[in-house]
Amino acid sequence: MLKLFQMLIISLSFFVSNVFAALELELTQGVDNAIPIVILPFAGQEIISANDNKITTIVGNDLKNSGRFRLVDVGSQQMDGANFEAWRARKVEAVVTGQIKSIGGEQYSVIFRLFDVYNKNKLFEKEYKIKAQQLRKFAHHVSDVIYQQLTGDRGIFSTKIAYVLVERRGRAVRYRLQIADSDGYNMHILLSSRFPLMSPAWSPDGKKIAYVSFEGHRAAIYIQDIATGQREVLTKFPGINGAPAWSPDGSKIALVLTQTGYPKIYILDLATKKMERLTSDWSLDTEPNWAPDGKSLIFTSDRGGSPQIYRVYVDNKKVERITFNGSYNARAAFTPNGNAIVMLHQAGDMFSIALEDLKSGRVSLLTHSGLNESPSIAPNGKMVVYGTNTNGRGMLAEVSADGRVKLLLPAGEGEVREPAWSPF
Amino acid sequence: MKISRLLIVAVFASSLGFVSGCSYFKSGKKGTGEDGTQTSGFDGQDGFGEDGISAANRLKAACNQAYYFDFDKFEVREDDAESINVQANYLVDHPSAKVRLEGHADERGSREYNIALGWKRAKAVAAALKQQGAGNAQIVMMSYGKEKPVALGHDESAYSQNRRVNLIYEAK
Repeated sequence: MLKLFQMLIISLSFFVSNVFAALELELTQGVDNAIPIVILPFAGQEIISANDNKITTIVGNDLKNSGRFRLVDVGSQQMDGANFEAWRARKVEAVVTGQIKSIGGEQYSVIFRLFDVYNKNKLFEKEYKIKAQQLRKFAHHVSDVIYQQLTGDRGIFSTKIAYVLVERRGRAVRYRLQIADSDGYNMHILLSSRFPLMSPAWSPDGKKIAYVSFEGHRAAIYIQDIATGQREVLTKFPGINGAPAWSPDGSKIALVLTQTGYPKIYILDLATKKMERLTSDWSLDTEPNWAPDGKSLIFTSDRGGSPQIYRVYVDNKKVERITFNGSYNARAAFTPNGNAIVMLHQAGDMFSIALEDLKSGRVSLLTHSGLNESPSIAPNGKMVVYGTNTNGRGMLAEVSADGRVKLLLPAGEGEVREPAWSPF
Repeated sequence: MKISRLLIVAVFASSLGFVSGCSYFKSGKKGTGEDGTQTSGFDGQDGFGEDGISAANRLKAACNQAYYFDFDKFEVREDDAESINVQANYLVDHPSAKVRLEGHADERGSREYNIALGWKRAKAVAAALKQQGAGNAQIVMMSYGKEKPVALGHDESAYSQNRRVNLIYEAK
């Protein structure tokens, strides 16, 4: 194993740069419902940061890009957060205020308050002690608090996204597995290789990532610890080793192997290393994903003649078909509440991201253009990040689970693909 | 590119001593083979080559080959049968020779499903080789799905070049 670890790559560097900036916010319908909010400059915030790195700028971008808030600009006027009548006159529903003080030892005291204009009360007030390098993380926490207080849903501003970056220079190709904050900042490289990398999957505790790498022209599934960069081979059988998916309790990984000659779904118990095959016969079965209760998995299979989504139960291996609309449904995953699946759906020449309600069987297209792929659902179930091909270049995009909010996340360099949204 | 300098590139695959039998191979030159893996950044020449595979398959062994497939099809084309036979005969005559069959797909659809499609194509070529007497142990099958396109376009002319199986000698 020592030799393996010598080959590991981990970058401990910390970059405050944005790998995929949310440049284009396209609110297709959500504007009417967006909550008008004012974020007043935190008193004294220039002592800790400048320009784009201000807490209030970061919080403002977070809220705006969620599609559920509309930032109301009040210019440079000095206004009192608790002056409810004045805010009401401006049709503002919520106000954020704060102040920052240096308390020595490179520490800062930050007080942040959230006011509900219509109910005329202070919804939240708390004092934090932070260091300058924790500023972005703290700002995302503030966004999470505001989002939860005002929408009732848990915020996803402190989550991360893993993805594959592909850079081509002439005939040379470099593949990188990277993670970044969900707003594109704070990028870390987990692996760099001249062989393709694919299918990153987060462990439920957010500490590890399983992925497929083709080093030496052989597919293998690796599990890499994010903090230490150490990794181990999970499977490296002849043929396909693909599509790893962690069980909800983190004890097992579903994956695809070709031990029977055909791609089949297996479950590997991480503690006992015991392996069990779930599907059989001559079809192509791939892309397993667990139901939230861990009792069944959905997967893609061509057993009916075209790729469709099926469900297999772990205890009796009974298989049932789930999708009936269209001739191509693949790469499905459950929403966190288990009521729906998000998948890749072909509609004419387009590959769209679609959501199927499992009770009614109704399919709604969330995207309507071009070649989309690899949908991954945010842990609060409100947003889906996916890969898209815009002007011949791979980049990430987000769409809300109701299809109303769309965001394009152009990458600084290279092609970004296969996003995987981290757990909370 | 400060980042890439911080990186160590994974080096795998003990060099397999690739010696080309095809005259148009740039044999031994750094980066042209996929087998003698090199550690390098972007200054190097390594990358998505096709191991000197040209559009037409040579009727000569042991020669790396590319076999193309129709849309949504997994059968070896009739006009590839002869070149497959030539490689199969070589494998029969050289029991220590070994080939890797890489299945590939075009860019449409999901990535892991395309891995499965590429696998199906690699299996078809493997079956044709075995039918001519090549041994199981001489054939390594794998699939790159749509991860290693040779043509980067988004039209049928690119797709048809990408739906392929590459036969690559790992030992001769």
